[in-house]
Amino acid sequence: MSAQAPIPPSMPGKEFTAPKQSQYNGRRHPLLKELPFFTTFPPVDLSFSLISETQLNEFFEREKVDPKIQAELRTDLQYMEHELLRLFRDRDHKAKLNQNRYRLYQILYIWLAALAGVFGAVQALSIDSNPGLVPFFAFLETVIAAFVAYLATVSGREPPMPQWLVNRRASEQLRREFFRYLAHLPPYDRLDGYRRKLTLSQRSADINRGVYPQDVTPANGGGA
Amino acid sequence: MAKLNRKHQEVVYKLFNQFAMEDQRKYYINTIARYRSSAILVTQLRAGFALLTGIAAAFVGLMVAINPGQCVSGEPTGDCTGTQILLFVALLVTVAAPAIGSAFTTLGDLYQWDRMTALYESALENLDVADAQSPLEGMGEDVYHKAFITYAEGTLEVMNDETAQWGQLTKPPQQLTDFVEEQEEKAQTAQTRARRGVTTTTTTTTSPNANPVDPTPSDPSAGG
Repeated sequence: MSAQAPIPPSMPGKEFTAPKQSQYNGRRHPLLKELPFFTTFPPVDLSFSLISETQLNEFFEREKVDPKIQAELRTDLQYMEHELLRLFRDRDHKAKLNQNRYRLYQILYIWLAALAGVFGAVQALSIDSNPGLVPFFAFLETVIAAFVAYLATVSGREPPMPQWLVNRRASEQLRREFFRYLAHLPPYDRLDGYRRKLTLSQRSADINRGVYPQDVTPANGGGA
Repeated sequence: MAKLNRKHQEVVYKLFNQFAMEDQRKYYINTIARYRSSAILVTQLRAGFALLTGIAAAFVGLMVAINPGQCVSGEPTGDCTGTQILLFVALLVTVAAPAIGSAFTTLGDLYQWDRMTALYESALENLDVADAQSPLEGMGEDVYHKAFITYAEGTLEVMNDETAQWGQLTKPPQQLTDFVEEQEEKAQTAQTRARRGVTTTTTTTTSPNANPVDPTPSDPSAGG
């Protein structure tokens, strides 16, 4: 997986601040950064681009890129904004959202399992020393079992893990397609004008519906 | 646009190098550092809780063996408050610490930091192999173009392989899957028992009331 933190592009006359992706707003141990969001999940960052306007301008300035080439690259990026980046942002956000859901459920199960273990051990210890506590701990264990069953039912409607994997695969494929188009790599190296654009639109739409160019063979509908 | 001119090709190479290759490299390096750090902390926590369990269990054993002031068993010879508090805390630790340690083990299995680190390290090495194919200034136009295609395709291939392997490695921990199944069964059993209990209670509570209302055929006052 290689989802990277969104970098907002600069807009004329408007100072950009990085979107707050952290629920803690401070320096934390990497382990804490790995933990899911427990309350609200950040919405889609519509300003996100794989190459931001600021980065692009810096690059052009540093490399002293010919204005004609600059214009061509900008045209490619503008075309991809609607045809590819829109889909990428959506898939990337869905992947992160489902990753968060998956980890949240799993971490809840982990702590419920720990609690069930503690209650079970205390219950076993109380049989001899304090038998009156046994029904109380048995009740707590049943409450945990009921809560686990509730969580399993809630998460079972749209299982987060397959959704996470499917969306992450699509977003990473779209990311690679972005660079493939920009760098004029095959199949874009032998195409020109509208054919090149059409191919990008077609391939992006296919990737978005789960049909990956590398998996398409003449036997299953590709090859044209 | 069959082929880009040399100048354009050079710009595209630098753009790809910065935003695809170097971004990906940075992502791998940062992720490896973050995962390694998380794995170290979780291992320390697991070991710490195991150590705590051992010490607490040994302490309980010691107290039982020496039985100071007959506070553990028998008739106390003095004030046992301190000893009993210590014993209670030690017992609590022997019960809670293994459960918490086990929770951290499962957390490690959930995130699979070690396996993911190995995957990203291997991807990083492969990225270096792809980078070694990068075009050089002294190359002729055709050779430069071919070198760029090899380099860029190699980079995208590494990214593609990493995503595919990442998908295969991402699995929920087996112990959590088993725990959820067990708890669901437990909740189901509790529900069935409760239903049976209610049925039995209803039968026993309604029968005495039913008798006066529902006269038995042998009751002479029933008429008929």
